[in-house]
Amino acid sequence: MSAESESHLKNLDALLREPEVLIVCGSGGVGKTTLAASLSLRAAALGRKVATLTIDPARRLADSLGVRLDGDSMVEVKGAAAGSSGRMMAQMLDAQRTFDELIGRHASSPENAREILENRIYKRLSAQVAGTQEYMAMEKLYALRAEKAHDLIVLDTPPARHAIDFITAPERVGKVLDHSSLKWLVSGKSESWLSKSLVTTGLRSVAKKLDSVLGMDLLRDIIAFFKAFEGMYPGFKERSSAVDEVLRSKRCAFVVVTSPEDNPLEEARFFIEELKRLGMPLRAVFVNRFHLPIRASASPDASLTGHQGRREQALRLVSELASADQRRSADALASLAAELPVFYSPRFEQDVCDLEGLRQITARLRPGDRRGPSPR
Amino acid sequence: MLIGPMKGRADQITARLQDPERTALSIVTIAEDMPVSETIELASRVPRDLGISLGPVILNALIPKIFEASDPMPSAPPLDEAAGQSELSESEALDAAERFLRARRARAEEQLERLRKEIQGPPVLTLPWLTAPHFGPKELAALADALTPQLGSGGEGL
Repeated sequence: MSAESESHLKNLDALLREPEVLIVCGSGGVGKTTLAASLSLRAAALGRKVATLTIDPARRLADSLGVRLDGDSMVEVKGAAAGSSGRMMAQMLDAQRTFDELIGRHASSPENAREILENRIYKRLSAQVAGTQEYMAMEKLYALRAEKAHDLIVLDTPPARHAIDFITAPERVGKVLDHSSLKWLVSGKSESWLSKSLVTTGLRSVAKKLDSVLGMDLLRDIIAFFKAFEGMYPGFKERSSAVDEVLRSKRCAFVVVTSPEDNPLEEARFFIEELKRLGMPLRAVFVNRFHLPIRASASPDASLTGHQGRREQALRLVSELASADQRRSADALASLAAELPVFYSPRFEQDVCDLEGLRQITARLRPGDRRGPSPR
Repeated sequence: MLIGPMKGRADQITARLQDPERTALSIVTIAEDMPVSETIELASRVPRDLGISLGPVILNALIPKIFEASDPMPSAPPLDEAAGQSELSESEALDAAERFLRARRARAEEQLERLRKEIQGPPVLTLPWLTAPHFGPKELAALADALTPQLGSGGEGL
């Protein structure tokens, strides 16, 4: 790498040297997972001990990191540190497994854990409810920090707008647990009330209807689920508060990733606004797959034919792609603070699928601001 | 598990979704490795697991084919390196643009080939890459124009 590009990456290296937690937000399909991996690799080369939690990496990326898609522990990425004292570990977030582990850890007894894990409501809730991945990312973040073996934890977030739920998950867990109707439901009064009401009062017809629509088994399962959870609330709350505290502190940095297309840029704007509203520290924006302009000394000549004409046509197309990317990004990012770094990652000719490709991403990043890449 | 009126309604909806005269599911993808892999998997599972018939698979934002295979390949560095320099000579700029678009088109064609090989039954249609900064009625019309000839007369492909 030349001295010039080293100096261009000063901001990036500062971003990677300081925080203990780096959270990568953005919508799906913008190369977020790949960028999270390449930032991790750069941080490892800077000597940091990095733990990266990825979500749904492409198979070839997972292979090149050596991460098993069904792996249950962190694996060291071989050749990541490039001679520095750092290292990179990676793991794919398995929300179901993390949830099950959490139950095992907090349940009052092995019987209690089994009761929850086999509960029909639990099985559906843990597998399907939107947001489970976010809660589990938070849980995993807590567990990784507790290991005290990593200088920097890089967290790839789920590719959806509700990924921002991750940030508010600690707070929401707390709120749900404080909810009085939930307390009543798990207090033990509910079950006797339910059975008494059902057999002795006019609620019988209501129950019959409910039964025909939902099935009584389902109601019983719901109550059993919340009862089984009862003893776990203090542990949950404690962990939630601990994570919330880290997310709001100087130890944490958020970056937003987008591509220069309308929908991802709109999502990026949403993430940026939400982070501001929640008081979370946004440190940089990355515009991925950006077509850099080719600055030629003469403009293309449209009158040529044959191969030369096709070359002129190609240059015009690349210019169009570059100016469209530039305009869309600048429009969408106009409200960003002028001093916030924006990194532009050029659209590569080839797909990135190995460690060398990941290194190329950070090596070729172009620094800039909300208006576009700065000229060299 | 469900009985009663909800079940009746659910059965009606299912029957409609599984009727090939009324419902087809079209998958839209882009010419990149993971989206194409996911499309291939989805395409095999939709008829098998859901009993819903598959409509045309649409590959969106296909980079145009500009060059002929017989055109000699220039030996300039890739665009993103070349673009780091403040200004290129005219021929360097042309080289950079040509190399970049040929490489991109070649990668896209690989993915298109994969789709055509792996998708059983429905046709694979393509939509062009649009260069307009924002998507509006003009761009929508351009996509419709690109799609129409691929659907056959009367649009029976859809």
